[in-house]
Order: sequence, then C-alpha cells, then structure tokens
Amino acid sequence: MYSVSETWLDLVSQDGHRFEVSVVIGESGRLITKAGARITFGGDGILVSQGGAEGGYRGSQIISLRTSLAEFAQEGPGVGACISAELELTMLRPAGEIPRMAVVRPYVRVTDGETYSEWIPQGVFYIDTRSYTKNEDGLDLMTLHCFDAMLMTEQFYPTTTHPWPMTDTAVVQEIADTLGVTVDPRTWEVMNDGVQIPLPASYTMREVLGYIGGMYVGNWVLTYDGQLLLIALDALPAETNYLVDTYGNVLVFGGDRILV
Amino acid sequence: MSEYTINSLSRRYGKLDVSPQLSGYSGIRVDPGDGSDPFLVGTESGRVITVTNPWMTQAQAERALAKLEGFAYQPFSAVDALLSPAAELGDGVVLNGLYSGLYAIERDYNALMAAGIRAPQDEEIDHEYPYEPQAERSASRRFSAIESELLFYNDRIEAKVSQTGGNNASFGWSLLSDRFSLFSGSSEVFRVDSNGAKVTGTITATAGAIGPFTINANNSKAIQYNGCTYGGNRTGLYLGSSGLQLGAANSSHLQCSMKGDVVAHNMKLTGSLKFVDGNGVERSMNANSLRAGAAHGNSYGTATSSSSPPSYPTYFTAKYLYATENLGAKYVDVEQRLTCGFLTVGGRGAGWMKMSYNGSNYWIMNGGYAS
Repeated sequence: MYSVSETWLDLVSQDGHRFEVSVVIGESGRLITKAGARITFGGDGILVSQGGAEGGYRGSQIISLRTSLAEFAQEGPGVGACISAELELTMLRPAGEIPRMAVVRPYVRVTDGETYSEWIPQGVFYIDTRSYTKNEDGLDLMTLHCFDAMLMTEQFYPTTTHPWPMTDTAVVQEIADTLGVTVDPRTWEVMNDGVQIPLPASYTMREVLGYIGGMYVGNWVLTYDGQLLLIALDALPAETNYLVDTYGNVLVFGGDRILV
Repeated sequence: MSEYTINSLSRRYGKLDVSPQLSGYSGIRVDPGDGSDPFLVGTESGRVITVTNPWMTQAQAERALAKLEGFAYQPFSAVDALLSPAAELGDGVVLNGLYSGLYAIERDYNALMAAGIRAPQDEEIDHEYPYEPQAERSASRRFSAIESELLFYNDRIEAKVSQTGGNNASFGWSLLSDRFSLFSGSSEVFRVDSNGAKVTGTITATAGAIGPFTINANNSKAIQYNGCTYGGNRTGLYLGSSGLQLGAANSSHLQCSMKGDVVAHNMKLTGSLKFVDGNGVERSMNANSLRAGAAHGNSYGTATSSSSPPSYPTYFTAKYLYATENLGAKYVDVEQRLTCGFLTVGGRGAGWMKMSYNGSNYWIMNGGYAS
C-alpha cells in the first residue's frame, strides 16, 4: 500500500469524496492558476521546469486513462519475471510537440470539494506509440500507449570495469543506476542471501534481474514512484481481520489496529 | 509485498470469480537454461514452481524453497472493484471472506476508480481431464518432435536442434573464443581451431587441396603432387584414373598402369616374386632361390622352344636354382645346388665349367680339366 496521509484517509472515509486525476507529460509542466486553469501567453501555455501533478493535464482534458499492472509473466503464478506496467491515455490533443519517449506521470488525489489530499503517483511511464484522431465533435484527440522503465531492461548488461563476481544487491543497484531509477528499500529486505553473481556478459539486464528474482522466488516491478521492487511470491502479509470502516479503512485505537 | 491487507473490498466489487485454492508448494525445479538437465529441490507431492536460472545452486534453491514451501496460491478475479489508488501489487486483499493477493491490477481512472483485480490462474494446468483439440494435436505431432535452441553464455554461443520421440537425434554447434565445433549427439564431428580443421567421420568432396596434394584439379580425376601426370615428365605423384606414377616418365620413376604394367627404375624385394603361367602354375623367386619353368633372355617363364633361346641373361645367381626346361645363361653361380636334367657347359661356344669343393676350384674345359 502506497503511503498516504491522514488527510487522504479522512477524505476517502467520507461520503461524497471524489478522485481527481492529473497527467504530467514530459519533464516540464505548464503554469496554471490555483484552480488549475492554464495560464497562457499569446495563446500558448507557459512551460515551467519540473512541473508536478499540479501542472498536469486534468480531468477536462483527459478522455480516458487506464493502467495495467501485473506481477506474473504468464497466466498463473510464476517467478523470475520483470513485468512492465502499461498506460493508455486518450486526451484532447495538447498544443505543442511532445518529445519522443517523453515521460508520462499520472497522479491521483482525493477531495470532498473543499479539502484536497496530496497527489499520489500512479507510475512513471514512457511513450511507446502515439496516434491522433478526431472525435465525433471534431475535436483533435491524442492517444498514447506507454510502458514503464522495465522495458528498458531489454538491453545488454552494461560494460563494467570492477571485479566479478559481485553480490546480487550490487548487481541490482548497478542495473537501477543504468536505468536511472532507484531501488525500493523493501527490495533489500527480500534480498538477504548475499548471492555472488558472475559477470553477466551477453545477458540483458532483464535476464539478470529475472535470474536474481528467481533466486528469491519473486518478480520485479516498478512502483508508483518508479522504484525497482522485488515482490516475493510468498510475501503476502498474514491474513488479518481488522475492524474497518464503511470504506474498508482500518480503524485504529491509540495507533493500533483493532483485530476482530 | 507490503504489510497491508485491504479489508475494504468485502462487498465493493461488481463480480467475483473464485477458483479453488491451489495446493501448497512443495518443490522448486531449477532449469539452468543451458541445455543441462533441471534439478528438483523438495518433492512433487504438492505444486512445483520452475525457476530458470544458470547461477542457482542447490543450496540457494533449498533456501528459496524454505521460504516458499507450503504457500498456497488463491486465484480469483474481481471486476469493478472499488480499490484505493494507493493499493499496490503484492498487497493482501480480502473479498467476501476470501483472502488472496493483488497480483494484477487494471484500473480505469474514472469517477469510481474501478479496477479489475486478479490473482490470475493458468486454467490449463489444472484441467483434470486434459483435452487437446484435433488441430492442436496435429500441430503437436508436426512440431513438438523437433526442438531447437540458441543459447548465449558468458564464454560461448551454442545452437542445437533436437528430434525427440522414437528416433532421437540432435545436431548442434558451439562457438567459443578459440574454436568452432559441430556435434552429432554428444560427439564432436568437426572442429576448427587455430591449428586447422579436424573431421571425425567421412569427408566427401569433389575437388580441393590437402597440403601439397591436389584432388581432381581441373577435373583430372586424380590425386596429384607437384602437377605430376601419368606419362608426364614432371616429377611428383600421380594417382588417378590412368594408374600410378612416382617421378618423371623421362627419368627414374615408378609407373603402374591400370592394366597392371609396371615400370620401375630399381626394385628391391624383401619377400618373393611370384610368376603364374596360363595354367595357373606358380613359380617364385626370392633372395635365396629362383624357380622357373625356363629362363631365357631377361624374363622368366615357360620357354616355347628348348633349343633356341633368343638370348642369354648375363647372370643367374642364386642359392638354389631349379630349371625344368632349358636354362641358358652366360654365367650361372649356384651356391649350393643346381638341379637339372641335362647340363651343357659352353653351349655353342667354348666354355668352362668351374666346380668348387672344400675350398678348391676345379675347372672343366674343352678337352680337359684343371684344378
């Protein structure tokens, strides 16, 4: 479960709450008003560096957004896989050019109309294909099909100069560095055998990750933050029956969950 | 993955399909992926999960099994589940009393944030009565008997095509940094390395060269050394459709035609030389004896006329000399015994007969003798 604030939990426990979506495309955002309206200059949006969710495309521009996340490579439980998440976005065609393989970051927040939660990310994707159509009203639409950075592991393991063999954790860190991502700290809790890995010459990073994942009977995914995460097949939390509210959120008493 | 179990979905989904919980894992089968045989850790009493890994040792597999053993996978599929956007893959989930994990999430970012969530199941693997349609069965017969693989290792590349079933066979190649090999089954039949090529088995070629020898050069139908031809005056070797020749024809040489005619400059025999006449009678000559039906001229054979030999050889020298008909020679030296019906010394001209006995020589000549 992605870590959320008390505000989020409060809001989702209330009737009448709703979710809002923002999609940031590219490394830059657009300058907008507090209400989310785009501030233009001569008709064009004003780009700002490192735009966050606040500067993303919002509901009025987004026709549909769908993400697919999976842990297994096949229809059924398995291990040793590196699964890329997918995103399909259809929206009003934005002005300006979107660079090739531009990054696409969807965000979600919850609100009751007055109070807004923080934006939580829903992944870091990269454009694979794009298409342009018109809807029945004649509006220009753009559809993007994207994958996350796991697809980039289909490259040979990078050339290295340090001695081999190396520990599996060092190999994973080297792959993450090559991909430009960080490793989710929960991964290190799973990888605790200190396995020595020989020089993986002529193997792709995906193969190397898969082999290491297989040793820990797990699979690799990228988290909502875009961090590399190894999920062990057997790592389900123990089944519990906690007291929950109408929306299923666990009720706490003095900071402790209440078992029933 | 997280410690979080989502209890919120007890009644908040559109449709829920639940399959029976799979039996717990009891074993791990490690496939090295390099063509060697997989090995099993644990037992097959429950479910066995296959891990493809060239580096996984038995000990590592045992550690992995210790974590996984007994874990029972619970398949399910729910649509339109009102799942929090904060839910991640690997979280636990309770649906109407069913406990499982979030192994696949497909979310539409609409007003409800409805998601399809699944713990997917390969339905094929749990068929109790496996049925294969006729078309699939036919395709299996055609294609499953042949397997091929191309493997990349740290130090080599290998390819292999295997035929399974009643007539098992495989053929493949392996490329290393210092050699290239072809294998039939597990036997190396061809190797190329810095020393050249090595073939184990039959070579069939229409032409070529091996070292200084050419084979069927210019359709010669011969193995040649130094361009030697049959009857030609170039020294070397010719072995082909015309016969055999060693050396130049206009010099000292050995030649054997396809009809068996032999020409030799010098010949040294350490065994015997046999002659067979038209009647199959065999005579032989070796270092110690000469047997002949007759001897005249420079050849040996049956004389057609006992009275007029065409010419005489210069010497007959042998330990034993047997002649059943006329034997004519200018000199005959016999070390031990001369056997003949008639002995004529001198022939048509004057001649001497020398006899040696006990260290003394005795001479018989026309009109007398001397000692």
